[in-house]
Amino acid sequence: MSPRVLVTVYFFAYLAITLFLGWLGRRHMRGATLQEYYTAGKSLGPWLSLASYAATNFSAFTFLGSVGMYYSQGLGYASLALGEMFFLGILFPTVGYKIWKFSRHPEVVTLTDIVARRYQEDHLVRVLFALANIVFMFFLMGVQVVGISYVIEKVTGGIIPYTAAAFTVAVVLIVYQGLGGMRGVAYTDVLQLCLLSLTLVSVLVTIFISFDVSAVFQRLAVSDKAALLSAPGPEGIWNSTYWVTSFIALGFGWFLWPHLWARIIASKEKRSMWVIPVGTIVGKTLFLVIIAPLVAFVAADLWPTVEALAGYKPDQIIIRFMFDYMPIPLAGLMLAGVAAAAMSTVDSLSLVLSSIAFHDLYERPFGTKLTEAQRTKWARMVTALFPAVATLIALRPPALIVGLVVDTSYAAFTALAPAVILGFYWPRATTQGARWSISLGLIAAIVIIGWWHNPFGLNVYNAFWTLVISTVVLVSVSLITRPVPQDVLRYFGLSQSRVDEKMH
Amino acid sequence: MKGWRKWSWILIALFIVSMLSYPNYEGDIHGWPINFVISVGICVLYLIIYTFYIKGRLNRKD
Repeated sequence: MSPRVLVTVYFFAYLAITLFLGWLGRRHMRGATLQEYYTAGKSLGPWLSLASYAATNFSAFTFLGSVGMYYSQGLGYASLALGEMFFLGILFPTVGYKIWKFSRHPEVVTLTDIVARRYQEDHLVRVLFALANIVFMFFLMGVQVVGISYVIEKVTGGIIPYTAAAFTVAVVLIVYQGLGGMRGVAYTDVLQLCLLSLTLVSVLVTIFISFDVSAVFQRLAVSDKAALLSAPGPEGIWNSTYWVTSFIALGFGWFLWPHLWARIIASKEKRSMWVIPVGTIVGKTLFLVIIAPLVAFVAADLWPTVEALAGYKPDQIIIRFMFDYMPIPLAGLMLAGVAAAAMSTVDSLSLVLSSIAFHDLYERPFGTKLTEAQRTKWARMVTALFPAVATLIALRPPALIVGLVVDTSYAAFTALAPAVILGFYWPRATTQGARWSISLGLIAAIVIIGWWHNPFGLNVYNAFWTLVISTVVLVSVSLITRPVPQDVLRYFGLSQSRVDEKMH
Repeated sequence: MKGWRKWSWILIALFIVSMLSYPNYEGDIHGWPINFVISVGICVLYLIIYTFYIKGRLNRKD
């Protein structure tokens, strides 16, 4: 059997198993309720929550893009991994814990519910927050579909063409999400994480078996690729200002991605609040800090120019690496792991975006009264729409808009961060402050990334501007507007009377 | 000082070191690039200390 046919067989076997797991998720569902469908009844145990969080976190971009970025930009790209990891460590036991705690309320389905409650059930805050999540994550989902289809066509040598791959993946996603909801997605995440972990360990072992890494570094240090190993990198991007500001902004922006907070809400136990971050930090250290740069530097030594990559793009280096240096049956299995990385992100995104669209933009603002069975039926239909439309966009992506929205994904979520984080900790944060902070932060994100690159020539990372602007707006507007009522503050443990009680 | 508080000071120090690590260690190659080794070392140290810290911290919460 040729390697390409073998990979094709593996891929279809993988799809069949995900469908089975979706069906298993449906069998284990505890009633046809909206909470069960979108949050698995908030009953996922710590290890299942960790598997789901970690698999969701590893996207096509992480797997393919990060190696390409290290190959092009050098070690400076570690800023993303370090920033995300350190801020995960800080934000999980603080903000993450609060999200988990306040999501125990039976009516809370999304983070938007908690944020809206903090700001007096304000419809504008709810709609702005929900729309930002949908708009800036939807196109990222489209990019993942492009990533999967791209990988499948490449690794099967065209046996499954791009378009067929996109449609196949969309149909499988729609079926298993529709069947099992969050529970089904979490089960498939376990499979996807197992494949991913096996892939990571195999790649690491292959590097050390096949190469003398010290010699690779020594050769790179005296070649014209030496800039990869030191600041500011071959493209001159990673000066100290850019490094520090990206470290901070990436950490804040990434934490609030909706498919990640949805895992916090779905967790049953407080214990998840330490199992998830510790497990995720292990994964990030292993792949983003160790394996991805090692593969990129070995590749820079083997294939120093884009021409030497022989038809592969920088973000496909890991695919070539697997085909060239791993036994073919193992490489085939590992490449199914790459597809798994992308699928685990798309399924989680479509489920959470559906919950935001249906619950935050339809049910809550319009006060719709439906039975639980009707709500679940509608939720399933809305969930099916997301991968379907993302696939259509992936077939003919409108380059400018998609590029702009994907670029703004980190920046947009840093615009939401002050309203969420200060909302939990600063009693003076007001509804008007949140409205203006989110609106102006999002506008700033679009303007700075789309048109006004590198404001004032300070080499500050674009999302850092958004973070600063939305924070300053939130604080300034809050200080001059009326505080939220005491009963709301008391609910969030922020009222002055409670502080006084504690002091006495 | 309570256990988790002690760890949090160490974590804050590691956080600052990691934020400033890369640009301060330009171009030193001794077998492996020193900046790469430092990044990996910080991550592993952070992971170990963080595990102790977060367990203590969450046990403290209601």
